[in-house]
Amino acid sequence: MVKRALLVCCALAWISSVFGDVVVATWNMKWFPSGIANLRNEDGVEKQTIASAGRLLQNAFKEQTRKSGADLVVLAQEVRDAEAMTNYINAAGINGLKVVSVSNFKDGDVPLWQQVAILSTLPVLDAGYATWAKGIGVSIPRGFVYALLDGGDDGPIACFSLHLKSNLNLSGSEVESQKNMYKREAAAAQILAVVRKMRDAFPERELRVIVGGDFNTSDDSLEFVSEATLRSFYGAHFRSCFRDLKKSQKITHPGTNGFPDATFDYILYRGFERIVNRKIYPGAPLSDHNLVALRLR
Amino acid sequence: MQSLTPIEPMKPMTNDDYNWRKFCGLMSVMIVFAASCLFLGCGRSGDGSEGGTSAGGVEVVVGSETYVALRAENEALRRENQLLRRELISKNGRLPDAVLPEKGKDSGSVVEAEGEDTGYWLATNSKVRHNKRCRNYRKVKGRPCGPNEGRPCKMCGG
Repeated sequence: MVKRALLVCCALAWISSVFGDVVVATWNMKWFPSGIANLRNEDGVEKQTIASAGRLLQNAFKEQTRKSGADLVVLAQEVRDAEAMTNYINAAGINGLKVVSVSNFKDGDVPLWQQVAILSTLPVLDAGYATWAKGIGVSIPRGFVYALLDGGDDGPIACFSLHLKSNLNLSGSEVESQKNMYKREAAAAQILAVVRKMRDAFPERELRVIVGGDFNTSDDSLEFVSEATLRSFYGAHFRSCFRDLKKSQKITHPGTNGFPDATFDYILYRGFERIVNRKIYPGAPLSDHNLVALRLR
Repeated sequence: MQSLTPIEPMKPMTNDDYNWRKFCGLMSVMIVFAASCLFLGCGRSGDGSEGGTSAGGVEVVVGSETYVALRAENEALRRENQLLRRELISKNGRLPDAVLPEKGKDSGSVVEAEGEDTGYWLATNSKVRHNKRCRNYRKVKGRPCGPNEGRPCKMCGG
């Protein structure tokens, strides 16, 4: 009798511990689904890319949920549009996964093909996208997409998918390089302002927040030693998914053309207890970035 | 004009010379090794876990006071650099931390045009021709056109 009661207690404890877990994945998909900047590819090539990308997400999700089920949040960058994301979801074949929000950033009147998106299995309370504020001395490209998801008894989860300014520096000048850093710092400041506003809307409990994407900066590279983008998040009690890992264990952008290996893709979180599992899945040949996935409890 | 003294030809090395040189070489390597061990050992404080910093894969331990001072100096330099960067770009040298981003509006971007779909699109303003693969195809103000009308787009080749 006592044995049976103990077994029931253990089972209940296990169920309650895994209940509410969220698998989070972020991936810069490199001009998905064409793989070519600003151009469509042949239909057959694009279909194949979508199928392969879907399989990668499916395998990552399977591995993360091998021991028990969990909900999924996917933060995608460099995607063409909502149609591409719908096709991606169909290829992944994950139960309940839907498009929550896809941005519609434009260059003049023409939509960019470097949109950001959020996909999830969780119910959606609110979602949308925003471009970075204007009139701040610089023009910051793109913006971010956000979603307020229903996390059940543990309260809502605010998610952000972003793709910060690249390190493109055609003139090679130091001023240009500093401007790129400033653009990322200014973007981070705006995200933190939105997070503060969201937290004020839920004063009764600690709002869980996930910010992920291609930050185009790194917290352990000499090149970005003075940049405050990531540190401003850490200062606001966010934690990095790569905490306590060595440089060689967190390569998300394998080096090419003389550029070294780098960690540009991060999942930052706050309000969660801990990371249960984390892994980097190679994104080649589909993308020059790797897919980062982890399970938050 | 001074006459140059001729250089004496080198004497061939004997076995004794060779052994002596080898001994000196080994001794100097050992002295350097011992000195480095001594230096690293002195720098270690208490339990040996404090004040560690890594340089090129070698664990270098410095006195904790120096370490703290260096960290503070590093942080000050970082802040100074950030401030300089902000002053370079924004007028007040501050980040737009109180500025909220602008919420996006989903306005229709597909340009509806009458006429046959030829697979080519001529932008009315720039007279640039785009093909079906292009981001600008039917997204900029224009009309369907033939394969040789206007200037070809640099991205898609028209």
